[in-house]
Amino acid sequence: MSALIPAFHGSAANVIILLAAATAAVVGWYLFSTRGGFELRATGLQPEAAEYGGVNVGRVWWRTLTLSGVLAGLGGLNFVLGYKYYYEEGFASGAGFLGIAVAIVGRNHPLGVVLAALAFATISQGGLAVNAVVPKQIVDVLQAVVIIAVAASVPEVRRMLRRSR
Amino acid sequence: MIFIAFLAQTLRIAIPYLFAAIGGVVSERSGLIALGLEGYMLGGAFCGALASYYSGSPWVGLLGAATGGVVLALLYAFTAIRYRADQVVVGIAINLLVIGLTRFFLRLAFHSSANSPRIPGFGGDQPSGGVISLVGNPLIPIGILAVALVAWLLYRTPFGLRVRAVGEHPAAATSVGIRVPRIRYTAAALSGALAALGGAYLALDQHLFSAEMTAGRGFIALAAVIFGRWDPFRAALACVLFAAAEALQIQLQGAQAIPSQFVEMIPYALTIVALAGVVGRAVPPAALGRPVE
Repeated sequence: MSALIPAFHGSAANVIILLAAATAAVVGWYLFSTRGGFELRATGLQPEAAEYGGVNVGRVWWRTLTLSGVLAGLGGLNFVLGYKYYYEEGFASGAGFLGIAVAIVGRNHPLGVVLAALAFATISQGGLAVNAVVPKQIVDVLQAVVIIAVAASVPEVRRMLRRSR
Repeated sequence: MIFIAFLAQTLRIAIPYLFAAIGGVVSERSGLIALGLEGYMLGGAFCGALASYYSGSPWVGLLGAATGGVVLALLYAFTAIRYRADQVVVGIAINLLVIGLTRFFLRLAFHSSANSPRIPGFGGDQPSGGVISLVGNPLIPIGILAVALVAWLLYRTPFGLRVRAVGEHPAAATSVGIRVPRIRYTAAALSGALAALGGAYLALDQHLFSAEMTAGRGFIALAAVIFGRWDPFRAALACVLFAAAEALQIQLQGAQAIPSQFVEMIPYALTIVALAGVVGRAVPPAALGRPVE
């Protein structure tokens, strides 16, 4: 990555960042511009209605879970093939759980997820910067507080929007 | 003699699972997903260690642990009930929160990022792990008694009936005058206190708190809740089964018969099998995870 952009010199960032951004774009295109993506969203909203509309719900679930496994598997790529170049036990250290939170904070939208992931990454990296002043564990607390706040406010905000309409 | 050591080992491993699993049963029966068990346990272990260290009495430690667990569980219940937050997300967040908080306060209180100094536990200075150290530990009879007590509470008292009604059909419960949120808050607090006692057992047994010492035990307890089909006795049996598998693995360590990682997989593999409907159908409470409108 530092070969492409000199400013990245010395950071753990690598080409996989580009792959991640491209993946988000492709998933966005799949979800919102293809027949398969439409079937997926219809199934998620109301499986019975989708079935009635001619969607094979069982097949959509197979397809979706396979795809989600592929995408989550790619998540391990960065650490193993882009950063350390070896497998280390427990390297993911809760990244999968944090991923669920990122998906919710990003409102289940590819673009939102990219922004949410960047926000959480900023908090994580920021912990190293403030470590001299406050123990860096405060970062885990901060991330959890963000998740709880977002999860708690989403239904509330949605209800307020509905009322104002 | 080897057999007695195996039984003692099983009991030692099962007790924290037992506390957390019956807590999980109460919470899930009221309709609140118990994903935060791991967090309550870790929080309980830390508060228990802290209270025991400063007071010099493990009993005060238990009280501190239960208080910590109740606070965490009420925070979870508050966001899930009052703000209708997604229970899975908040449950995961509670676990992350507690990992961060315990490490943070470990640094502040004991100036260490790994573990606390030695704390007073039960059974004097007996080395833990022996059969003798089990006899002096009141948490073992308390844990076994708690299973029966929670079963009695759920199936034989008005409160238990209400908990089950709220978990199955909150709207119907509301229509007969049950205050659904109040029942859920109470169930959550109870589950937090029970799981925290399980965590405190770990800290008091090892005479110290170490960072992330629960190491996924809350998730194993949740697996036991599901494997036990949301019944206190069957969940307790599942705990003993999982613990026996672990104890067997420890006893077989010299023999190198089975890789330990395979034994660690057993609870989760069995739970997937149970959920897939191989051994009868596992039917969760109907309103599990659903907020009340």
